[in-house]
Amino acid sequence: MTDVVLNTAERFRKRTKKRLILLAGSASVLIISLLVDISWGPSDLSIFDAAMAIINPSGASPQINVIIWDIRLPIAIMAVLVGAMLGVAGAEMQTILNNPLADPFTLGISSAAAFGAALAIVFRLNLVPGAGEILVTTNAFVLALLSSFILYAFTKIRGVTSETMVLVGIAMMFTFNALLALMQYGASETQLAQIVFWMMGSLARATWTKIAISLVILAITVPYFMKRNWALTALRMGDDKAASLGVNVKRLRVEMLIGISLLAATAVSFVGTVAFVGLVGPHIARMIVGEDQRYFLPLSAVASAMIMSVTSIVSKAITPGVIYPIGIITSLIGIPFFVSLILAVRRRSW
Amino acid sequence: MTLEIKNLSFAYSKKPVLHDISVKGFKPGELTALIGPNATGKSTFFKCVSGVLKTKGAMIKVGGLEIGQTGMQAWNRNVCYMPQSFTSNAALTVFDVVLLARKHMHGWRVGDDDLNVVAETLHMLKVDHLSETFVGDLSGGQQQMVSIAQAVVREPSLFLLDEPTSALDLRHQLEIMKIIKDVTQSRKIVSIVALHDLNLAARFADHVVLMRQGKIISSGPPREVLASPELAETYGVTIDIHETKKGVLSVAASL
Repeated sequence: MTDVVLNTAERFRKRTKKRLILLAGSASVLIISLLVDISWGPSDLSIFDAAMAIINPSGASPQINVIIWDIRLPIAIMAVLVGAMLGVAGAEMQTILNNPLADPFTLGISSAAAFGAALAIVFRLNLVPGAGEILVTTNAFVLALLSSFILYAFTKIRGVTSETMVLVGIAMMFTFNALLALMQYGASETQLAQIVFWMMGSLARATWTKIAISLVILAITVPYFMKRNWALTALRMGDDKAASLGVNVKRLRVEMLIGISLLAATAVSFVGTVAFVGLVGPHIARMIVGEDQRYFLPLSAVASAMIMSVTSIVSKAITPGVIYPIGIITSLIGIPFFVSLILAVRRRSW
Repeated sequence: MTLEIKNLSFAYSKKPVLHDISVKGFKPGELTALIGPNATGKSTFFKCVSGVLKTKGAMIKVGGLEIGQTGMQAWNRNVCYMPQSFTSNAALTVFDVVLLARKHMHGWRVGDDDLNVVAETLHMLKVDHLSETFVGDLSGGQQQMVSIAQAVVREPSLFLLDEPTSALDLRHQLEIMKIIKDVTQSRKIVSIVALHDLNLAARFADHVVLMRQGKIISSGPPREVLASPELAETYGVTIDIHETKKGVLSVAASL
């Protein structure tokens, strides 16, 4: 074997190693961000105090325990989980739709969820019997899933091309936005305020139950996606090429749609509309490790989780004692960061 | 390795494209050129044989395997179909996508031998300088070279190559056809290559199959098929065949 051949293989090995290091590095930064988020707040606790209260709750004062366990931990963990869910959903949506603009908004999932929440707020309409006080969340979830089912039904009738899916998704987004506007028009002032607040997104809605559910959803969908990472990478070379390599393109799209819907519906119904994270996290991952799904998928999750975690810190840091809605912060801090990244990374990534 | 096809018909919705095609006699180590006008069903034929399109009532056998009887995974391992062209803007490097084709449904456990096969193939096709380039940044011709590299690393027993030289310059056309021919002979596989350039067919093919409106109307050695009245009639041209001093057939067509 010639040196040229050995060199080519060696360059690939080096790049693989670099990708793994980048992945591990990003994960470490995420953990640091999580710890900062937990220790940041109006009552001054150091990272050390926070860490001690987590490791050994019985050694900390009841006051600190309440702050850490009931307020800060759920919010900080929820931020990471919602980020990861939106990141994975966005990454795979962009992959199966072959479209850089795809995220839970594109297919109307967020709009449908907002409409579901508005149904609960204005009419107290309960789509899940026995939902009780969490009917805003359950309604949002049901509507988000319903929008995916409509999309799925369309693909059954019209075929599963990425163009059809994007067009139907956009049509649904406008439909649900119109329905939402109709609800807002008829709502009382208090209800209107509630709807608007819901749509801005808030991590203060975090609970340990929601965290557990999010973990379960991630534990089901991520391995399910990882199992298909070869086919998903092949899909980015175009439908024809993927099919020639033995990928059942139609079935793959539908299977992925189910997982994506679950992730997006859970994230959006738990914390409200969070723009931008599901779109940008995957783009950052793509710029850093490319689109080999073995690295792209985990880094999309980590990058989006990091955006959410930093957002959570910033939302508390602007005005002490006030937590700003995350939906506003993600766009305000994320966009300058994203634009600077586009300018800094010379390699074209879409 | 042998290939046998019986009663292959196919229709898109209700528009019939292939009509009851039956062929056999493809010998291992032989290169067959599939020729015919545009939209005559050549790509559809490849898609049916490769299993990308599902057919009813046809019998397609490759070696000991039969489509429908064999699992698709085993089928795809043996039958390599290369579509006409691919355009991709993915953030995947040339090495990534060729390795992807090599691993082809075997999962991602990448061994040193896989990396070496990919690197050797890129070297053979003289594209190793592109190995770290994103596929979206390649020219049409370079993408076609990558596509051929993807086919070669799969090591199938049947090649179905759809116009592998359409975007290539003269020198690359000859080089690629020579590589395909060498691989066919050394691995003793069956290769069917759809070609529009009759001169390439005359020069490299052991066997030529002429297709028209979804039917095979002529099949045999290049000298016979290219000189046949069916060919002239199919294309609506007059054809003159010459043999150069080096013994290479050349085809001149005129209206």
